[in-house]
Amino acid sequence: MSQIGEKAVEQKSNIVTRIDLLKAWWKWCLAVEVPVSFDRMQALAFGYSLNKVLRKVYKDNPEELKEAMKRHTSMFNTNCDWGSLIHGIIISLEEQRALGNENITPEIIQSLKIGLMGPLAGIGDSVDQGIVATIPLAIFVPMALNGSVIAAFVPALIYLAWSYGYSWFLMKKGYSLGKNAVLEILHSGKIKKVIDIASIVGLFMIGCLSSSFVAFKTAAVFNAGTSSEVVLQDILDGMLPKILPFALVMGMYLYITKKGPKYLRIIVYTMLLALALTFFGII
Amino acid sequence: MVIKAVLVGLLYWIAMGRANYFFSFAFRKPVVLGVFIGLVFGDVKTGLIYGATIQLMYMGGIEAGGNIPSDQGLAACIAIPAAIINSLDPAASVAIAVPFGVLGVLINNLRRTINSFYNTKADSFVEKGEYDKLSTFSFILPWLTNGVLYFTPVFIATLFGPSVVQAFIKVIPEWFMNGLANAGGMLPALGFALTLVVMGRKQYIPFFVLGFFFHAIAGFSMLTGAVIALCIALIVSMFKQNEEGELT
Repeated sequence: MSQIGEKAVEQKSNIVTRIDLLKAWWKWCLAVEVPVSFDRMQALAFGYSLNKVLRKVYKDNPEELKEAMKRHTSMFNTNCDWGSLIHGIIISLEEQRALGNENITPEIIQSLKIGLMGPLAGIGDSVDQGIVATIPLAIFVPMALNGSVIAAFVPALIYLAWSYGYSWFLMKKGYSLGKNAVLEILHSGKIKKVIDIASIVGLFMIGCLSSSFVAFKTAAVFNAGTSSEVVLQDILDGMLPKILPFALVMGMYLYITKKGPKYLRIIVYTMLLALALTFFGII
Repeated sequence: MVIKAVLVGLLYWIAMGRANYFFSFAFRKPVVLGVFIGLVFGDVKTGLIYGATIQLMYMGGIEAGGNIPSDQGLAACIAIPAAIINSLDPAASVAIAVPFGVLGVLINNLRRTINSFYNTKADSFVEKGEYDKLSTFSFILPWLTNGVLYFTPVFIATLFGPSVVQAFIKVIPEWFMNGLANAGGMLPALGFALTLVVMGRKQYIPFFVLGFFFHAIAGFSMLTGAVIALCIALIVSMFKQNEEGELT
């Protein structure tokens, strides 16, 4: 009985409804990468998502509202999908603050936001794009090459189901758990284990994909003295199969880790290398 | 032809304008765009084949932190119409796609530079308490700006591109076309290398090496690969759990 009573009190003190939360989530999905700029990244998308919610919770306090708006149009960048956990947490904290919880200071809100966006982007980008978006493509694109229109859409549908479902789940979770969500989600042993397993599967699959989709073969042939020809690719295959594609991927990996994400330069170098090697008949 | 060019331009806007990120991310895959561009030109099957062939080059199309290494949407929206109209062979469509994928990165950088203007505007609206305008300047206006930025080049390219491409292909030497096609074969390496970097687990790189050479030797299907990968991961986590158990 007392539990039900407590729940009723809790509900009464909630300003943010499920519908508000749903709207904020939808706006985040809609806007996330649209107003991205070099200096503040997804800042305006975050503000856009929280705009109506903040106006609702700080209805009677224009000064606090302005401060909150400033907070949430400042630099922000994370993974769109996993990042919605942050929105849930921040909405819950702003609501508590508006309701008079003095313990929740702007500093706490801001540092949680900044502190969480990096780790969530790291996990999110690798799981979403490295695994959920890539592995179905690898399975279904060969079927699409054989002319199956359905196979062309299956990877997209898998990705959409996952990202919409999971980001809404995290938004709700973030809101209901508030600041405890951080500890709950990032430090729970179960999640760590799942991420660990996902990483191993992902890396192994990236290996299979690299072997399957990176095409780099030499056509060089040497004349070994009397009439016999030596095909360079055969020698390489005898040493280690597909050593050239392997060296290419590892070379790019090392280049990025050493010199930073200079993709454009890598692409241009690769194109020049390919053109030069083709010109001299090496590939 | 003008209507077709408008439609392809709009497709590219949907793909790279990024409204509704998840949807646009799924939509911009060349294999998906290929079907729609094929539909515009009345030949779904051919569009699909070109799209799927170009897709092979962008298998690891990862966008860490919103940085696109190569714009697969632009590559598809320019190469596929040109390939359909001139009935090129699929390898040649890849050769056309490569340079435009690179150009797309520049459009993205231009977009992110222009968007800084909206940040400045946003600050003044917050200061004045005009929160509805803040919303407008946070989504609708940047999105329409995207529209101009993304629609225009593809519209022009579809209108004039295919005939230019045809003239071009007649002029440029064969080794150059082959070189670009070879570059198309090598470039997927970047996507995979980038995924390795983003996963950020140096100590797990041996799993990548294992996957690579397993596949290089056995050449199994990707589904088989996933099953093997899952088993290895579960076995490893079993050992890990034991280790942690001993520690505590």
